[in-house]
Order: sequence, then C-alpha cells, then structure tokens
Amino acid sequence: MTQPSRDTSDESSDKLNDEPDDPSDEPNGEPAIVANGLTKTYGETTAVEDLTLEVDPGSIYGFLGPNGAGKTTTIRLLTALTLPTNGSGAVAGVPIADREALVDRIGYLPESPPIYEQLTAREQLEYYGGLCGMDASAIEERLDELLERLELAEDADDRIVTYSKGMRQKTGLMQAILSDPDVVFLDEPTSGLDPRAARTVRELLTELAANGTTVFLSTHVLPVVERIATDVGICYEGRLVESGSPEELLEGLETSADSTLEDVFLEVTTETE
Amino acid sequence: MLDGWLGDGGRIARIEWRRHDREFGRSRGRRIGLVLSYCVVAVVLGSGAWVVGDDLATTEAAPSAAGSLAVTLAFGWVVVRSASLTHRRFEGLSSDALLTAVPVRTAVLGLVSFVFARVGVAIVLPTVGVAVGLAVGAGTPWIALSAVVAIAALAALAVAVGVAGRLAGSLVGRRLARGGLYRNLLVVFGWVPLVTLWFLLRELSVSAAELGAWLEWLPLALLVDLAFLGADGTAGVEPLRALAAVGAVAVVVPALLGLTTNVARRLWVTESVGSTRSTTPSHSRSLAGGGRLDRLLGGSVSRPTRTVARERLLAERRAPRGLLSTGYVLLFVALVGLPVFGALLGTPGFLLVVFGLGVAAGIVFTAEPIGSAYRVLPMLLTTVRGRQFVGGLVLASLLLGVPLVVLVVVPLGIVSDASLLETGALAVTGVALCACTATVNAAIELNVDRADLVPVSGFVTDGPVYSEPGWGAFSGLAKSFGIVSLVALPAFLGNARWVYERAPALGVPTAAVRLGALCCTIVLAVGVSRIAFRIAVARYRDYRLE
Repeated sequence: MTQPSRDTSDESSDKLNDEPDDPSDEPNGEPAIVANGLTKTYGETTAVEDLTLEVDPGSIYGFLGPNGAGKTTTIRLLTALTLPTNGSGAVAGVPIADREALVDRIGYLPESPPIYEQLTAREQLEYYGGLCGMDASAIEERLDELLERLELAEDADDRIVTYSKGMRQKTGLMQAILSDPDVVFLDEPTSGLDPRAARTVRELLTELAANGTTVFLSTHVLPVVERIATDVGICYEGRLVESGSPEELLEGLETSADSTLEDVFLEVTTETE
Repeated sequence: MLDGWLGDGGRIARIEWRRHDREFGRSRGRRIGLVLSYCVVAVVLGSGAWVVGDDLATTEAAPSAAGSLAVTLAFGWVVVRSASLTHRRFEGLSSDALLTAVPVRTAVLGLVSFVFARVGVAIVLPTVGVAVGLAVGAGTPWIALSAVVAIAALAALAVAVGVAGRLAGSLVGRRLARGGLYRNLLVVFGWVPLVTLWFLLRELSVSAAELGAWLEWLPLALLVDLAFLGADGTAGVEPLRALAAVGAVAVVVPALLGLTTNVARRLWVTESVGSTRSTTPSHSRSLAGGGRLDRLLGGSVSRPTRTVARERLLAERRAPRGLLSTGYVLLFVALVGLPVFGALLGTPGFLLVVFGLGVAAGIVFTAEPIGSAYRVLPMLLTTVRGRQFVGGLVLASLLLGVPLVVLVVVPLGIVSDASLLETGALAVTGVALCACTATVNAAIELNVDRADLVPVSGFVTDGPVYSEPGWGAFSGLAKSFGIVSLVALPAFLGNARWVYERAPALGVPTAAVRLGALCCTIVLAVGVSRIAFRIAVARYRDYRLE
C-alpha cells in the first residue's frame, strides 16, 4: 500500500499558518491513545464516566457497546470535538485539549460521513487531501488507489448527492484514511456496505494497522471486530466494563469453547445490568 | 372518509405548527413581544379605520382609491408571508413517511391548513382593530361584519396564491436547468425592481391617491366594495361588485388549491428525486491544487488555506448561498446606506458604490460558515486549524472582492472627475472594506452554536440547508454591517461636501481631506480586520460539538 506524505513545503513560509510545532513527531513507544478518567456529563446525564484506557500504536481497538453506551461521545472526546467534564487524554502523544495540534495526527469517520453533497467524491477527497497539506500528486496517487480498491472509480466524478448510502460511506472512509494519519477513529465504518465492500474495508484496516496506523473502531458489527481487532473494550452506560484481546475476553468469561465475541458482549452487558 | 381526510389534514397541520414553534424557538418573552406588536398594529390600523369610517359617515363616499392601495399592500404582504411559510415547511414535511400513510391531497391539506392558521393568527388582531375602528367611525356595526368578510376573503385568496406560487416556483426550479438560476436571481435581487419602482414613483411625484386610482382597475379592488358593503347607502360601493368579489374568491381559491395539490404531487411523487444521475452533471473540478491560485499564492499562503478558499469558491458557484446574503447587504445599502450616508451626510455616490461592493464581496463567503459546513464540521474541526480555515474564508472573499472592486472603481474613476490618486485610494478602500467585512462577519458567525441551527429548505438548493432560525442570521449580518459602517464613517465624513469644502478656509487642501479620510478608513479597516481575524481564529479553535 502506498504511503502518502503530507506536503508541508510551503508551511514554513506560510504567513497564515505559524502554529507551534507538534509535540511529538515520531512515536516513541508511548500508547497511541491514552484516556485518564475521562468523564463527560450533560446536565444530569453522564454520557462517559471515568473512562481509562490505553491503545498501543499499530493496533486495532474494537470499541463495543449497546446503543447509548457512550461510544460516540468517547470518540468525540478523543478527537477533541467536545471537551471532557473531567479527566484527560492524549492521542499520538498530543493532549486532547489541544485540537490545533491534534489535527495533523488523526482521521475521523463519524457515523454520518462528513461530506459535501454538492461535490463529487473526487472533489471531496481532493479537498480533504488539500486541507491535510498533501500535494496534488500525492493526493492523486493515493486517491486512485483507494477508489480502485473500494470500487468507486467509475462513480468518482458523480456528485455525492446522487450516491447510495454505501457509496457515501466508502467516500467518508477513504477521506478518513487518505492522509495516512497516525490514529484513525471510525464510527461504524461498515454501515451500509455490501459484504464485498465490507471485506475490502476489513482488509484495508488490517493493512493500515500493519503499517503503523492505530485504528479505533466503534461498531455494532461484532464479527468485524472479532476478525481484525487486536484489542477490545466494552463500554456500558458510559463506563468501560471490560477490555483485553478477543482471546482474553473469551477465556476470562463463562463461555463455552465455541463462544463468540457476541456471547462475551451479551454476557458482559447483561452482568453489568 | 371525508372526516378521515379532514382529520388527517388537521393532524398534519397541528404537528407542523408544533414543529415550527419548536424549530423557531419562541420564548415566552418573544411570544409576548409578538402579541404586543400585533396589538400595536391593531391600534394603528384601527385608528386609521376610525378616520375612514368617520369620513364615510360624513361624506357618504367610499375612499375607493385609498382602499385599493391598502388592499393591494395587504394582499402582497400575505402572499409573501404564505410563500415564506410554505417554503420553510415543505421540505420538512418528511414526505417519505407522510406519503406512505396518507394521499397527496391530505398532505397538501395539512400544509395549506398550517399556512392558513399561521396567517390567520397573525391577522386576527389587526382585523379586529380595523373592524372596530370602521364600525365606531361609521356608526354602524354592519360595516364591521362586511370588513371582516372582506379581509377573510383577501387572506384566503392571498394564502392560496402564496402557497401555489411558491410550490410552482420550486417545480420550475427543479424541471428547468435555467429555472433554478432565474428563481435564485429572483429571490436574491427581486427587491431591486421594487425599490426602483419606489424611487421612480417618488421621482414622478405620484401621490398615494393617484396610485390608488390606478389600482382601482385591478380585480382586488372588488374587495373594497365588499368591505364597505355594510355602510348602507354609501356612494361608490356597488353590491354587485361586492358579490362578484365573493364569487371570484369562491372560484379562484379552490382552483388554486387544486393546482397546489397537482404541483405538490409532481414535486413529491412524479419528480421526487431532484438530483438524479441523469440531471446532475458528472464532472469534477480539481480541488487538489496546481492551478492559478497555487502559482499566485503558493509561496505565501498554506495549502490548507488555499484549499478552503478553493472549495468555498466552487461551492458558491454550485449553490450560491452566500449570494443571498449579498442581496440583503445591497438592500441594507439601498435602504439604510443611501438615505443615512447619502442624503444626511452627503456622501458621494461613488464612495457608496465602493462601500456596497466591498461589504457585499466580504459577506459572500463568510455568511453562515457553520451552517454551510454543518455536515462536514466533524471533518473540518479535526483537519484544519483556525488560522487556515478563517484565512481560507478571507482569501476567498478577497479573490472575489479585489477584481470586483477594481473592475468597477477604475472605469468609474476614469469617467468621473476623480484624480488617479483618488481612484487608487478608493479601490484600496473597497478592498480593505471587503477584508474587514469578511473577518468581522466570520468572527460573528463563528460564535453560532451548531445545535441552534435548524434545517430549512434552501432558496438556492433543492435540499434543506442548515441555518439560524428566525432573525438570527439577519442579526449577524446587521451587526457586521453596523461595524463596517463605523469603519467607513471617516471616509464618508471626509468626502462629504459640507466637510471638505470648509478645509481650504483652515489652510488644508480639499484633496488632502478627502484622501486623508480614505486613508483613515483603510487604516481602521486593517486594524479591525486584524482584531476580528484573531477573534474568529480563537472561536474556531475553541469550537466544540457539544
């Protein structure tokens, strides 16, 4: 897989862009994602409560939980889209309070792909690449590869408003990984995809992780997590109630030999209930 | 069956009423304010009606010309209001769910009932005021009854015209490739012919009486006869014309409602997919860079900033949403700038043109940046820094503003008696005002909470867009306009004849005063721009999706 690089040749002379340097340019063995007692409350409601976790660089972390468990809020906290009520965290060595420094290190696919309907997929992805500081040739090279792999090349010049849900999802996913970020947060990345596309996505994520990208994967599709995740966390009512590798989770609970992650999930969430 | 049809329509109208109330967040204070304003209107109209009624009793002659003018104005207001309400609710009707539960005619009945109810509530107090005023003035209660019937007929007709007209406009915009463009131009610049007409009537010294006399020829004047029918024995009121008014409304309103159902069916069912692959162009314009913008600014402006600017230019080209705000700005300049700065301060027209161009160009790309990027905000906030985003908006504004100002100011400077230096200073002033407007408006608009935005059907797009409800968007524009007007004030004052003509007496050349005033505004604009830019960047940096 081609590794795109961000063109920052004009950043040094950029008069509109004299931001401080990122605190960590190279991973130095520290966790890719750290959360220390993250808590988020909305009035009387606690969406995330005292969440503490660590995710290793280059791993695929499956973040599971029932509806309303606080998965999306956790991702929003880790991507600095919302401020924690308590606690702290860091992504790729950058404190999550500093979104300006974080933007160079992360990619994010929310549940609803953040794309402009009036652009074509090619325009949207070129736009995103430009925002990330990638030069035109790097964008084109990476784009062609992703469009081909996700079978969207033929439709890349149609406006997104004409796309099906799956095509939009593919566009959003390509956008999240286009610039080869250090950490990519994916909220239901296989939602709306046909089995063939879902398999391609799984392969893509595995390749990303093999090349050093950390994947934080929030999903309800447990077989996806079971197949590709190196670590799993189960969130329930805003708290992280179980974590470990899929094997550890299967071993540590009262499950039979042919148990699946679904059984673990049901057992953990039922016990907690 | 009929009961079910009517009942379902009523239910839809009630739900739309509730949704409308919640979307547009009517606080208790605002409700009270609204009722008080209706009371004031009722008192004002009631007083006018009392005078008319008193004249009726004295002269026994109906003021047909004045009545025709009043009826035409009221009719126009209700049509515009109904069209606006229809526009807001049509897209939000959840047609997929609705049309799998009820027939199209029921859904249309719900929509039309909602508009009737909203307009009805708005006119009830003014109607009472007029009816009571007429009855007291004329000394007969029957005129109150005939006036109420006439106002109800006028409202029914105007609502039917407003709803049908708005939906027909949407259909034209959807079916004809050029129709959408013409619809947009009409929405954005439709006020221009009205303002021109207003100035023309003033120039021709046409009195209200003369205008009313012309309007008497319109069919709407039949409603004046209906309104005054209760004043028995009044000259100029023909019962036959009054009856004709009732008959015409009884025929035209159902016909328009039938047309509305037909048009809505086409919009919802026959041509429900507005943007299909067959109607949407398949073509990408490069946003990756490498074009003229990169060659021009590649060394001094970062790639993300250039990309933000490039995307804004492309988005505006495809759905000219910012152009709508430009229309409002030009309206501000025409209605506020011309009378206040032109007439009162004596600011020359040339400078007002420069001001209008600068402000309009500055508004286009900074109007509602949160609403424009509503869907992509999670991506933007996790990808671009504040300086890059705000810089991109300002860059897009300048890419429009600089050529626009130069192309207009230089030829005007050549044909006018302005010196070369003065023309140059005016051009720089225009560009500085453009940058100032862009930064100030960005700073104001980036203070908008995403949660406060609601989906509204866009004038310039087929789908809904996210915008502040009610007067929120206008208040932001008005603030920007106010701040930039203050920045331009030194230029306005220094170029007013009554100011610079006194300068020679004080030993200061006239040209120095005029140029100095322009320079003062340029310096002020640069200073305000820098402050506003910092505020905008900080607001973007601290923006959270709570």
